Amino acid sequence: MTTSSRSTNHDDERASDDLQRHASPTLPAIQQPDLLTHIFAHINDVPTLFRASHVCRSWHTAAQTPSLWTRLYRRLNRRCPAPPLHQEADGTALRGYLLESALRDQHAWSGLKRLGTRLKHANGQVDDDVSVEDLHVVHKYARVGTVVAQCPHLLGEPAEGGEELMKVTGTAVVFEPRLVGNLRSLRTRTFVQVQPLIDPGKATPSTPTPPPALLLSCSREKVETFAVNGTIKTINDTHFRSAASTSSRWAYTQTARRVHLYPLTSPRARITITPPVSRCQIICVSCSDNWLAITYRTPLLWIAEHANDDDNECNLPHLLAVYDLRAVRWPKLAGDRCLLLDPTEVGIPHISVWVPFAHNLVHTVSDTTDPFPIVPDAADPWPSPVSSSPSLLKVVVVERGDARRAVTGHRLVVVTFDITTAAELVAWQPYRIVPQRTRDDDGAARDLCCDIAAWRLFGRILVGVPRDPACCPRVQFARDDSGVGTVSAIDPGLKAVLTTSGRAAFDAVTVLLRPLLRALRRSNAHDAHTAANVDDDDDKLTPNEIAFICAQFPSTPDASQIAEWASHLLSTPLRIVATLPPHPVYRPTSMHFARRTRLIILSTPHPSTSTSDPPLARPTQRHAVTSPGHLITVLDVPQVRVILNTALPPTTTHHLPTTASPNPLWTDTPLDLPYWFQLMIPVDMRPARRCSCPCVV
Amino acid sequence: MVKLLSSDNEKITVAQDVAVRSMLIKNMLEDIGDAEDAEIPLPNVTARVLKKVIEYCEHHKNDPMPPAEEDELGDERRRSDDIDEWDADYIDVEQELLFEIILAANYMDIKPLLDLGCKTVANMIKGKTTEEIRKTFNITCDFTAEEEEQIRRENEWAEDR
Repeated sequence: MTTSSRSTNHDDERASDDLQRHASPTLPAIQQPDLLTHIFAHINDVPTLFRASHVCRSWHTAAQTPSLWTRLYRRLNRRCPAPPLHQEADGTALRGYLLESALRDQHAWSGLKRLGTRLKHANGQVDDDVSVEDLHVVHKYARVGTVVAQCPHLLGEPAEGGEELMKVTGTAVVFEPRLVGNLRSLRTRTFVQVQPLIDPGKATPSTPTPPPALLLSCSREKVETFAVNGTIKTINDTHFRSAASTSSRWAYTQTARRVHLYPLTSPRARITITPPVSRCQIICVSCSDNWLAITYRTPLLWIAEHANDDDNECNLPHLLAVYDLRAVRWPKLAGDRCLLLDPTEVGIPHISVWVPFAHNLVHTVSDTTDPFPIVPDAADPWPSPVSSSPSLLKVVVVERGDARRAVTGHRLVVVTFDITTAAELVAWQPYRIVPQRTRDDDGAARDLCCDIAAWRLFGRILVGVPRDPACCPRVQFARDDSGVGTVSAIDPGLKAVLTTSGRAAFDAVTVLLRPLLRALRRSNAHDAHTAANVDDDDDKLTPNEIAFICAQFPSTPDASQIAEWASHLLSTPLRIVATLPPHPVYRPTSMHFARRTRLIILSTPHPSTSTSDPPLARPTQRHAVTSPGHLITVLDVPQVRVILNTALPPTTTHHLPTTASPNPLWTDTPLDLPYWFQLMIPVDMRPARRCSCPCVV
Repeated sequence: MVKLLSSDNEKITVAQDVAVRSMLIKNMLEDIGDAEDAEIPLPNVTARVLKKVIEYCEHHKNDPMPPAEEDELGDERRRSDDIDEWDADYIDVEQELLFEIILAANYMDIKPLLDLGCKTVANMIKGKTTEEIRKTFNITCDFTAEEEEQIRRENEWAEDR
């Protein structure tokens, strides 16, 4: 018996004795699965259970018991009634979440962040005692828990049958998970979950399993806004503005000021895209596998100082930044760690270009959805007379007029980059779409609304869908050849101005773009008849404006050169090369490009085309409404012809009056039956009739 | 009094309130009724271990019986840092005897004793690396080289500290 006699006062001996007592052969209890499970149930921390699972096969098997991890989860997160993904029999996902949770808890991340900032400012030298591990973490690595599974226990089951779906792509589903647990502490965070998918039709036994779901979160961000009195104040912005994934490489989230890129194939890394100028705020994001385009609003302080210029008609530029994701160089990703990276660390160059943003117009969207480059060997619809030897990437920025300000029409700016090597600006082409004037049957002048709801750029083809297809062509096609060839190459001086992202450049471009806005305002329908009377000088910069621009640059450019730049930035009419005629019933609602040469348009019928059959006789009567089905149109874009028009069959919806019960209670007193039917019922089974007289039936 | 027959044919007589700490014995006593001379065979428990188990039962004979089924209190019971002094002295035995006690407690269905043994083993596991655990319990690693490499990678984060 070894009891107190072995418990000597010599701690060292006790420690070594502890190991020497294991000379006995492997004991049977150590290998029995049920007893091992019982033993492991008394382990209260994740790392110990994790290490125990790596002792031998029997321990490994016993440690996989889902109930162990479920119990451990409950112990660590007692406020949560149910663990995440508990329906998974092997508990793999739960085990992973717990491991990440344990990693998360090992460091005070806010402290490390502050330490990182100090190290950065102190050029790596700090006076305090800092552990080597902390330095290691701050310098390069971060634990998994900071990136994914910030709160792994928050992933709940679908509420009432499903989560709010945000986006589905070919490789992933992005949605907002329902949160459970201590919600009060989570009001400052927003969560999205990215669930990678695998195509079951293409899955084979050798197909690797898709990576586990990413649970992404964002914390508070400070954003600027104008107060009621016109001053600038800072408020907290806590929400993801969007989250999605590209076709195969990235999941990304957008907050007020940052875009986070997460590689779908290895969720252990995060690249944080920050604005090229501090205090910028994101307007919109578009991301594909190889390109990321972000439009940023400039700091409000810059905007405020120009707000009252030129009778409130100033044309304020904002930044369009294009990031090249083609050649990302990942550092070595070891073990269960993750990397928090910035674009320069992984070789993501970017280029920023000023694009117009008229703050007193309705800025709809920079429709740069899924930009894809034009490569020379690709099928090129509508070949240009000028051969395009370099690979080009085009991004379009769309601005729509404001009817309340009597500004109609649209302005597109197509920015073209040569991406043969690094992205380089080769063209900056503004277009304007002016409403066309037509005449009604009675001869009255009437404007074609031309209220384009969306413009999309597919390579070099601009496709516009109007808001009201009854008066405008259903789809309009145009081609942008800017940047193709050397004829329309942008002036190097102007290129330098447009790609310099600083305060001086902002001020200069703000004034440089003024003729562009004046032209748009002058071209609206109400002023069109007086266009001839407008002084052409509106399209030119004033001497004061030229002097102001010159003052912004140390190498004072020539005044004539600046005037030439301004004229280059004037918009030209967008020539529509083909249209899809209006349709009395259908209006396009979405467009999808397939194989680059096929455009699929989904059109929905106008609500007024629905028929009610039969007409309502009584308010309580049920009735049916028949609506035409959707229309699918497939277009061959190079040939500009409709290949397929498929109208889906109509659908009939039965409406029950709100006063009627869809499932009335059964009654055995057929008082409402017809009289003749009641006569067929035997006398003794006929229902008692209420009688107004005092007789007894 | 209840007569217990160990696997090495040693008869040990214990008080009934002590013996019924074992759910196995309690159920058997209920099955055989009031037969006073009946012996309860325990073929999986040696006399040495049985005496040790009886020592535990005698000390805890007045403790409330643990709940029969797992419930929320089960988590509380699974804390491994709440071993009282007497229990700690009691279970401070050789590893071989410790595991025999655990096996006996499992066989005789004495949950508090089983918990005590398992807590003790869990405490021996805590804070040790995988290799130290193997040495402690003289366990041979039976993973293949490929599996071990995979485990090494998985375990890297835990060892790199």
